[in-house]
Amino acid sequence: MKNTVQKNQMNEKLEKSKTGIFGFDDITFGGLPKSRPTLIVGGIGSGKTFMSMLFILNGISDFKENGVFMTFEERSDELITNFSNLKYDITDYLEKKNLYFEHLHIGQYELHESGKYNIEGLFVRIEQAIKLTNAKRIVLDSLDTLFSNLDISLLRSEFKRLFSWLKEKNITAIITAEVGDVYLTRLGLEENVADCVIELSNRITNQISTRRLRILKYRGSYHANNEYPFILDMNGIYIFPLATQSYNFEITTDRISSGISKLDEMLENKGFYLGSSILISGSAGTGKTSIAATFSRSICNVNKICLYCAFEEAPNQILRNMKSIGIDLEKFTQDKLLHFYYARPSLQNLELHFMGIKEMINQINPSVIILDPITNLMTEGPSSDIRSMLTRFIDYLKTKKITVMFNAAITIGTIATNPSDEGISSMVDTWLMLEDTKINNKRASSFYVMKSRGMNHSKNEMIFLLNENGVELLEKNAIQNNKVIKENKNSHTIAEI
Amino acid sequence: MSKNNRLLVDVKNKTEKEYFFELFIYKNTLLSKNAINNVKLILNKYLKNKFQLKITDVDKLPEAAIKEDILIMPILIKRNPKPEIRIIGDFTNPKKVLKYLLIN
Repeated sequence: MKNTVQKNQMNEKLEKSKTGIFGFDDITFGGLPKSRPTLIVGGIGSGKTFMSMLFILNGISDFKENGVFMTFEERSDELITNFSNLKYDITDYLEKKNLYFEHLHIGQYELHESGKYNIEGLFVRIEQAIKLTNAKRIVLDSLDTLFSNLDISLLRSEFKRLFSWLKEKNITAIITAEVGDVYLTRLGLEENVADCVIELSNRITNQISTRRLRILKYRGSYHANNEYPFILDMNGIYIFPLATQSYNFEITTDRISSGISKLDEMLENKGFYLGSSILISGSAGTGKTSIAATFSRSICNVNKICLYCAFEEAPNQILRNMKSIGIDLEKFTQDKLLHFYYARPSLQNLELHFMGIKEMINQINPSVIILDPITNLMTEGPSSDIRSMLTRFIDYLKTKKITVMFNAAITIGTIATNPSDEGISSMVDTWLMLEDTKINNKRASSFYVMKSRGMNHSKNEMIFLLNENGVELLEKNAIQNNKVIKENKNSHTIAEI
Repeated sequence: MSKNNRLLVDVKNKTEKEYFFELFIYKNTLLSKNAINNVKLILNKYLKNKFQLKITDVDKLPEAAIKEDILIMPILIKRNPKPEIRIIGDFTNPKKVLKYLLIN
């Protein structure tokens, strides 16, 4: 209890500047320290410039604070172009003097040195820019390029002077810098002049590249200490706080049919919760894709959009195979209700796949997403990185109120002995399982609702069958008594009724 | 009569000046004073009357810094004769300055 009181007291004293970056203001309990300088440190390509630009643009679009962006880097025009593709009207901001953007060349002219000098000219420049826009936010990108042409012995004092000068101007500042080998910053500058230090990284572990953000220091404020994976895509940066932290999703009581009437019956006669996550696990050939396809059909039949992400079979294959069991999805693809995202899992890492999927989500606005299967994406075996990335993806979908269905292939008979389950079953809201079984000496599938949060679901074992109408679930007793199992030409087990 | 004479003299003096320098400083700090003194010393010693030096305080005239893309000061710019050369610092090393200015 005392901790909370202390936390609140600390936060109250310090005013903060909201960044508007998804998840960031949560983990910092309000944003960046207002009117103080923040140092964002990271390697090349870690996202420093992108994040800084978002801070400025969100300041204009969401928080009515004008901003100055000074870059010393080469690719300044590309930067503007990239951001013009987002929701920000940069031309308008520039015209209205909400935004001042400038590329400064320090080493443009051949600079000969003789004696002492300082970067006072830069201060003059910045001052002009701040006055012009009445800016409350500023970014200097990046420190290394700024100082790269200068005498290293001058750097320390100039660096400190810059930070003090910015503090005097009462402006919330972000300064970017590269990571060094010995010191935090490559130039060996003490980071204690900044009130807040954030580290961005883009590391590759187990062949998967994950971006991470960490708050190294935040003077005068309680802050989260962990490393947070984040997604950086063309629409912005998304940081997902840990699932256990306060993250309020709107709770819905709406339901959605699975497309299989018997399954809906097992789920309180109503089906899945809208916006929930569903896992279907089972060994190869047990019928997971058929369940997913049936669900898609049911969605498209009510004119809602479904995004089917295929990571094993090509979309054409899926369409053909499902047609053979009476599920015709082709017309939905033509009607643009069913969309496919198809990618060979080995070609990209998980983060890139999720980025591609999120891009499609933005374009087509689906109600349902199916990932079939998810196990291919986890080629490196159990890994907490993968799990946390998956958790964040699920959280992201929850905020969009998209219902997601995962197929997971298991190689051995039971979940308990399967290494690739990754503990996904504990993450999801509903878990359906298909198990190989024998009925009258023929292979068949047993179907269970292993769990379904928030509802009184059936615990019965059902027999899972495929016939010319698609998926059917039958009570186990019914099968054993008077049905005969025979193989059909597609090697599906069909009950003769 | 005297006014006209003065104008003529000025024009004559201007055309005789082979070198034209601009020195940009910021405020009247010790750094600025050193720079001014050192530059004057060097130029007077090696170029005698053949130069013209214009000193601008960027604090009083910020637009000048913007126009010239000046971020570091003090800075000495040799305008004439071409090519244009820039030297930053307080000019404590005369040999270096001369070398950069291409003066023998």
